[in-house]
Amino acid sequence: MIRGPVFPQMRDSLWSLVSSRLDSIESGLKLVLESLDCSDGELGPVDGLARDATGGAVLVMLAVDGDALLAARALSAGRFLDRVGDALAQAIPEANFCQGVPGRILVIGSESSANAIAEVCALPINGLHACTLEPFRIAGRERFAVRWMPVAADLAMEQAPRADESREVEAAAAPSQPTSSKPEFTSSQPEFTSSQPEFIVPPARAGLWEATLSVCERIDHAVMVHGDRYSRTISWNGNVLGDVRTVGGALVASAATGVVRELRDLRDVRRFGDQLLRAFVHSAELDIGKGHAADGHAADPSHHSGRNGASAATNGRSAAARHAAGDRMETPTGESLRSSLAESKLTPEEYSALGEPASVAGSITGASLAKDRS
Amino acid sequence: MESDLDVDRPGRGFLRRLLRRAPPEQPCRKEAIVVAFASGKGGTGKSFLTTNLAIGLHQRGLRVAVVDCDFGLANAHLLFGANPRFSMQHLLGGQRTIHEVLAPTPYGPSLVAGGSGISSLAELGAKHMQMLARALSQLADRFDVLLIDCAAGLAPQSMITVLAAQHVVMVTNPEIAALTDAYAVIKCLSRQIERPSVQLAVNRVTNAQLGRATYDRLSEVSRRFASLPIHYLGAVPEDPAVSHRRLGQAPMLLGMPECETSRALRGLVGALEAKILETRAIPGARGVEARMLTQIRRW
Repeated sequence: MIRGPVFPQMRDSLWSLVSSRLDSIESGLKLVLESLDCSDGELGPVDGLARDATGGAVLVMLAVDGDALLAARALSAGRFLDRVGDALAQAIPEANFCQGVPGRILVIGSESSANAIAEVCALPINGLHACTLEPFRIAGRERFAVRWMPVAADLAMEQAPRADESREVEAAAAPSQPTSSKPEFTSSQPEFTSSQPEFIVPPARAGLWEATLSVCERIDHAVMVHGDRYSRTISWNGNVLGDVRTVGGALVASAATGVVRELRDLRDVRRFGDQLLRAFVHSAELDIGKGHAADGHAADPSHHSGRNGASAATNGRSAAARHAAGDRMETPTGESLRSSLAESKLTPEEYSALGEPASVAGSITGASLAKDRS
Repeated sequence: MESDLDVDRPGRGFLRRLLRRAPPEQPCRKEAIVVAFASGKGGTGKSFLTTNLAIGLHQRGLRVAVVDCDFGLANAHLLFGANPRFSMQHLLGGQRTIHEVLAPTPYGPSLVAGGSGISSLAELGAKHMQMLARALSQLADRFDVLLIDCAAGLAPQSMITVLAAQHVVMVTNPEIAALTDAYAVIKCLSRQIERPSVQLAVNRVTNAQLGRATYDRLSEVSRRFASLPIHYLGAVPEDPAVSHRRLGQAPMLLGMPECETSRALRGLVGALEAKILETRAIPGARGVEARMLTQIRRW
């Protein structure tokens, strides 16, 4: 094994940390085999072969400070994927790779190996992704945050539209010239935050994901969507409302209410959105079924503003929606219609108040006239 | 696992409500404003007010339909001087569509007559109420305003029709029995998630101040005990000419347009029209069918 002048104990400890937590780094990423040699022993093996959420092969490489062969090994891994990536599904049947899903290279390092990772990121390797793990301790326990690094291939993809345009011009000039094929999976365009890896959505589900994002936008301006290549977590003011994952070419959504479903059509998106809204209502303490009309807050729409202060826009929209159907306020109920009818029996105090002479209960007052005019 | 709120059917569910908060540039369907005339006690003058206000709104250029949901005691067709061939009975029996049941009246508004085939509210089940919800939804597409003459009391079927509306005109008299019964309905409305706006119309007042005094009393009690604000629509004076009118005579608003009662009715028409126009200007309201089905599910 040739790994260059690195500290074996550092690599081993990092690998033991990473190999058991690949799913924490990227949703759905599972280790299949360790130590894959892509360079006839010249540059040392890639640390692991994993399967991602879409069934694609992922070569997992550790970046350790002082590993002089890291860049060469990454290039070698890239060439290996180019050569035999399509054949891995048959060659390693136990990995259950999906045919036709392009392979990737994932370089994982720590803060101390940032320079090495930056060097690799600058290389024009297709399907390269890199991240660093930043450990920290909280409540006596060690955890790590994943920070995704920009890679040269991403920058190249940003310039792709201009390249496509030029290809179109060329194609117009020479119609028989073949055009390049599109990638199998596309990344969704609208995102709430940009400093995160692109969410890889199966092309057939791209519309559903956009519809889901649209729903999230409508729930509240403070709703955030963040995550890694294969999962997006939807949260509001730090409260997780749900998440969407890419699993084997499908979009699987799970809401904080506990409902899990695959998003196959817009109806599923609506169902999921319904659950997201429930979770939001719960998080923002807007639960319309828990209030009491008689508790003195009912006439005050600002009472709905929530623990953490749902945005003013949301309150405005909610108020408009309430007003659209009349005086909708807090309700005491999830109760049935029959039970609310039964509860409508008058109390002695109400009888008494209604039975008082009109002069006592109130005659014509300036206040009531002004209220009615308004 | 929690079930969804009928997301399979459009118009329901939390999300549907959410999505209806659409940007203003998106066209939204203009559905009729639904106004229910309700009371706790019978004989307060719901049908009288419904027919006359329908005519008044029609005179002001609105497309108005009256739906007589006072099952078993339906008489709106008599006040309109109409003798429709089909009625609610045919609609709920599945024999006729709402468009076949809908009949013109000599005074402008269209009418869905209650008929006499349904002897009581208790005969109506959830399926019938769903059919009614669908029918109202179809009507709502064709008219500007639907006026529902509801049955008195606190039967679930009656409350479902009341809760189908965006505005409820609570018709009461100054007497204590009518007042307590009206308050019972208001109290029930206050317990609903999606409650309509309540307008109080006081019928048969013996002097001009009594209507306002009745409103002040009911409003105070409603605000204090039920936390539900109610609004004052107006009062109609006691007029022997109303009870002395015979079948075949034109409704009060047209037959005796200059009398005090008609002037008061026109005041109510103006106030109600203002409420209707105010509601029409607000986008994003749920449809009448959605509102009714919500209540039917809670039944």
